[in-house]
Amino acid sequence: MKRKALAGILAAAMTAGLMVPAAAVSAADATTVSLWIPTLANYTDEAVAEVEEAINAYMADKYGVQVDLQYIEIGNFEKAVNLAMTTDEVDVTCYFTDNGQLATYVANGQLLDITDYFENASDELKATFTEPEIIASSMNGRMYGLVRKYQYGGNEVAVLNKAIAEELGIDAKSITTMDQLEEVLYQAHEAHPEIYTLVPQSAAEMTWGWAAVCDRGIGLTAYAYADWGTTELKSVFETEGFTEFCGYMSKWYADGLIMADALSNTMEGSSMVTAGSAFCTLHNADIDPLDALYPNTVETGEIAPPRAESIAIGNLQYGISANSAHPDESFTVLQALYTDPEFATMLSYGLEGKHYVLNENGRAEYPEGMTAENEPYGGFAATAAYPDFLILPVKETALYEDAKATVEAWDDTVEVSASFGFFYDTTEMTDFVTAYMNLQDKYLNAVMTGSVALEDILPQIKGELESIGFYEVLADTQAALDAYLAEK
Amino acid sequence: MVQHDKIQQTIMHILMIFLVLCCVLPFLLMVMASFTEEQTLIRNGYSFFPEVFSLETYQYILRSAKTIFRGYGMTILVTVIGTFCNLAMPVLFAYPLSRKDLPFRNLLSFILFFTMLFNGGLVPTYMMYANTLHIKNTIWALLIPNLMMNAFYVIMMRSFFTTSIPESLIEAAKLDGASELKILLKVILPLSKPMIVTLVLMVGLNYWNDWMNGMYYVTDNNLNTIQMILNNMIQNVEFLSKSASVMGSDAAMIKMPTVGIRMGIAVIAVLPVMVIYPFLQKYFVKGIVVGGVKG
Amino acid sequence: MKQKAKAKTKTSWKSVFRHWELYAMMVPGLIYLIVNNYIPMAGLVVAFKNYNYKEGIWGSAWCGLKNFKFLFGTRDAGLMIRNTLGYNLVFIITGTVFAIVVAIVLNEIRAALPKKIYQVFILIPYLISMVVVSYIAFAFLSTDAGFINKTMGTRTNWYMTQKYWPFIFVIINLWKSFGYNSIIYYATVIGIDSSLYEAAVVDGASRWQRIWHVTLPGLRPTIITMTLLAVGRVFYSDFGLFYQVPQNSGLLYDVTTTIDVYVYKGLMLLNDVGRSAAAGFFQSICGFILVLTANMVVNKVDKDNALF
Repeated sequence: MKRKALAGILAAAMTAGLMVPAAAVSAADATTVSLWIPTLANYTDEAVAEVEEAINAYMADKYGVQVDLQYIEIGNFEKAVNLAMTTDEVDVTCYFTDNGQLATYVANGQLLDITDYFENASDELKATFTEPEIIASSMNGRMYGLVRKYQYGGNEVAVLNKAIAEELGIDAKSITTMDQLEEVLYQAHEAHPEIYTLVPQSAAEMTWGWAAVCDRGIGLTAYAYADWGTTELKSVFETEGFTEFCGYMSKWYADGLIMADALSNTMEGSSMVTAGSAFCTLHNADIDPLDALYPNTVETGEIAPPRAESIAIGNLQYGISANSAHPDESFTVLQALYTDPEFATMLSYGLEGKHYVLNENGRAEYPEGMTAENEPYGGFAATAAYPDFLILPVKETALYEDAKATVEAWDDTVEVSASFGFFYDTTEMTDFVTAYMNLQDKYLNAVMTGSVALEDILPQIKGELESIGFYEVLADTQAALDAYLAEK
Repeated sequence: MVQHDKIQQTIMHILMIFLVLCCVLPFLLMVMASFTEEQTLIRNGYSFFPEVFSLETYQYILRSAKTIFRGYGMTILVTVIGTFCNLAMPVLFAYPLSRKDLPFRNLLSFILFFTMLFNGGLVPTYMMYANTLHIKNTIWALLIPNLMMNAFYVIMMRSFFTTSIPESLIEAAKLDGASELKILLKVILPLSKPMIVTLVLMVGLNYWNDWMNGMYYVTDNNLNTIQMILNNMIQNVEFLSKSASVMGSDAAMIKMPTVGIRMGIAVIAVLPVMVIYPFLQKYFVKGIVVGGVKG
Repeated sequence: MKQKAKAKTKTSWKSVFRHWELYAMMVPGLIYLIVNNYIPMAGLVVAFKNYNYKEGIWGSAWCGLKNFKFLFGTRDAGLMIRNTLGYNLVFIITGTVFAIVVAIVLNEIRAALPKKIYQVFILIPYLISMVVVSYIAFAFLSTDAGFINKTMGTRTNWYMTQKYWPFIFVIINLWKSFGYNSIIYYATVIGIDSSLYEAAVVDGASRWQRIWHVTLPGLRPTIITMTLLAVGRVFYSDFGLFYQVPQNSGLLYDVTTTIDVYVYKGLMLLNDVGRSAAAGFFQSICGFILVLTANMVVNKVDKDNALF
């Protein structure tokens, strides 16, 4: 009897383990829609549960749906969502498209085609999006998601350590060219050889701001680049802007200005500048002032004007998983994210009085004694992960009164890619895209950090580009682009 | 002759001491790095004798004690339960395989061995656990997938049973009318202590160092183990160097612990294993038997 | 003849029944293997499908061998297969030889306490996870702050120079695994029947002769099993070693890209389930064929030590 008992217990333990269901879904009869959001800041479970409860009380009355908030660590977000999209776990989700992923999602059938939903949606929703934004979330004329409402692109600045800048009498705002920046860097390097003079903006990436480099991601592809203001497609390594940028970097690197370990760096540039272990980092900027964000720093003048690359519009979107069991309810939630300020505010800022407060000017700020460090619901600190910050109360720290007007004004001044609106179908060329991305990964950061001089390695890069058939693909893309522009 | 022997012994000791230093010093360098003040680390580099000591790393860890110690708790829980199951199930599988008189044992061995080479890949396995068995975001997700029955351990156990347990003992027990389970529990296992202890270490280590299951099957931070916390840091760095620009200036919210802090967390992740394992070590050589026994 | 065969089957069924307790013991393990390994294996069909998330595993359209083209159609195919096989072969050879040498040295050392101490310490690298190893490697190899550059006064850019990495990988792999492998071999060495040694000593054999004629033959079964198991994995690579330790540095891709690394990077980009399945399928099939072949050879040469 005993013998059986043990085997039985083992088997039972196993089966029992297998049977325990995942976190039970909420009780009410209303359909529950799961909403996947990446976390940039800290969210405690208690805070998320409280916010979810409040949201559900509100949503039940207004829309008859419930929302299940799924906050995922940002580094793991894409992986987690991609896996979860194989099942019906995901309903509404955030996704990134900064490396041409939209083509992949569509090719894999991961996203629900929402064209019809959008056509039948409220006028309020339709009015939210501009033509470029709709193009950015579409493939082959079908719409797959809604872009995050955000300012387009950005300009390029440098962030300097305030103490050193003051010590050397540097007038940061007067620096508006790479040559002027160079002068200051050499000056700082001489005065403070013990710290890094220039560090990448984050990890091995010299800068996120492509305003100073070139236009990229043309046609929502990952491989087509062009110099600013032109529509002649090139490999990134052969654009003039990139060549010039890399020229500075390799000179600076050779002279010891740039951290030698740039390629294996794991730190964020601005935090090193803040901490005083580095003097300068290149940085993209937009409507939010950087020196307010990073203590002990000063921001230089504009090194490159505000520009939006082809891929920069709508590089973060919200859509519905093709495997969602409740597409209708999911669209209801998706629409509410952009049109229901009360819902959107609860989702992004948390509960009023608890996670944020509205001051006498009607602007939002941290409750007494709370900071970005200890506020339990991190959404207030990191609104960029949410779909639409234009319908939220303006933050006390903002330099503007009306978010919507400010963003629209910014968008008007931005130089948008000359090829914008053009779309090239890469869904059948995934092998090429993989090979290209590998090739680009191999060299891009190395030459952008100046670790390797572009001119030394360019022949080798060109040879490899040829061997993967890059120039044929580029020629086809160019032909399509020319046809598009002619028609336009 | 004796002289000659002495020289040989000395050479061998020197060789072993050299190897021991090779094994210990790199780890020590990491420990020292976690005690080095951050600016000193950047300026003077990694050193066994840092100029400026600092406990900042460990103060930081204490401040985030809630996350890190919860991670610790999860790691310990998963390791203990996982190790127990991962011993029980393979023992029950290996013992019959070690019995030469069992029909179909070759087939059963093959069924086992085959899993060492073939698997269904991530997505089908994910669907199995997330969709069919619904263990995603439960502790079972850290215990069950992929780790619970390693064919290599079963093969090790089988080898041990066949070589180290005299068949006559089993025969004798059978004549006494003992059931198979009783034989296993009363005769075989007591004789297999070294092997069991060895496997406790190996299996325990697998669970202790695992982050894959967590990465795939857990998105709930409550269930984070210490290795997952380390892995999350690496993934966040990867995100920072790939896609962070989509977050604009908010990307600055992503907390990147300094190199020293990461070294510190790595040290705490390794420490318990280092402390426990020398106690198990004495069983080691007696416990490992690989090969020499055909299935 | 026929009758005899029939009789044999009969007795074997009888003996199956007689051993029901043993089979019952195996049930949990079998259930686990079925759930964890065999049922998901059906999912391997996606290797031959154009996987569509909406359609799922069974609904997606067949695409023949298209997914395998991903592995072989690129410029990198030769590179990653060369790297995967090359490193593994070098790892197997260096690992085995080194571990055997250490095992024999341990056995020959007479002082009991140092012997124990050595055993404790050489296993330390085995306990450390690859993530932590990548931190340690960085502490040594960082250009500005690395221990090596600081001590030697050099400014070698380790993470940018391909030629060093084959050696670095071999050293790290050896460092991490030799202790564990040595202990496995050492366990076999001390298990060798001591009367064999005594006989050798009586015959006047020198230390080297004893090692050559008694110890090494005694190690043979373990060497064969360990190598057979390793051979089955030659198309796989330790992802952490080749991806995390070199910090995913682009300039090193030519020497760090193994099949697993390439597939991982391709997948991060493409989320393509079919391709990852194709890669896994390819690795499994190759490993399977290699193991069967190697096992067949072993069966011919040394029947007792074959795996099955």
